[in-house]
Amino acid sequence: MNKNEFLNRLGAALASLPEADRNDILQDFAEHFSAGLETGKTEEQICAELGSPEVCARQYIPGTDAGYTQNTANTVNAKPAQAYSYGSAPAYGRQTQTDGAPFRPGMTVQNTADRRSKTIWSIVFILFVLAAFAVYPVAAGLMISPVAILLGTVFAAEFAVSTGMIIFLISLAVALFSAGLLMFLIMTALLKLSFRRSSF
Amino acid sequence: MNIQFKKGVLEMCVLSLLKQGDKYGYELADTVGRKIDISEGSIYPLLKRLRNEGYFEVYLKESPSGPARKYYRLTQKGRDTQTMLENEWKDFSHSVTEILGGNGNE
Repeated sequence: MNKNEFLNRLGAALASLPEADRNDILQDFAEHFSAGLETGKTEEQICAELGSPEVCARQYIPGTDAGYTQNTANTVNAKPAQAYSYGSAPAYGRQTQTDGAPFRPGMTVQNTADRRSKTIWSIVFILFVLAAFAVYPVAAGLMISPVAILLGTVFAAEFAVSTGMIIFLISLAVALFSAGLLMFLIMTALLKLSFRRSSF
Repeated sequence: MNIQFKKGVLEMCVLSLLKQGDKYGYELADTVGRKIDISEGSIYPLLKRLRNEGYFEVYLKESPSGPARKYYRLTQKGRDTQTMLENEWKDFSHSVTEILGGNGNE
């Protein structure tokens, strides 16, 4: 197999992808060939190292991933795996788990620990809610008392002021009335006096 | 060698190689292919997927001979992931080595 044959077969196997994606992929492989040729390899050597173009292509197409296969002919029909699909790959952390990736020794221990801490937290939460029922009246009392004091003070002040005003007005009225009465008495007394003087 | 094994390890290898410096596709494929028995063609789908997930970005750079090459550069996300994977791998391989050596009950 030479470069052109490889790229043709790869392009054909990628027919279901959008043209822009396909050209991008073919460009990657064309670049691989030119870089390989520069190091003195032959096109056939490079093709052998790359493996089957159909297997390469399958790893780009969502849902039909052939996985990272060994460089032998009988792995061309390796069973499809889902995790390594192109374009719709799941998030990294989840992937390493669902993959059954070998290097996660602490996984089960971690899960049990997670579950245990969840139980502990829910117990703490329930206790907290129960405690809150006892605490609510005290808290409500504490919150209401300053308001009550404030309202009392305001009312008392207002009462004092209004009482003062009323007393002031009453005494003013009394003073005016008595002043008027006094004036009247003085006037009548003066008039009487003058009458008496003129008659004499 | 077990395929599942390689799947996870290959990602870590690519990320680790890129941590040493920006590289183009052939360099990555060739370096990994020399050490691990995989079809080098598998590197490119992996590169594309890791790029889509934001582990690295690409830029074109002229080569002294021939056309411009696509270089891969790790992002911060890629760097963080590489560190995480490397630590996990060290822990894991250490444990496995102990078990294989019969020292698992130490």
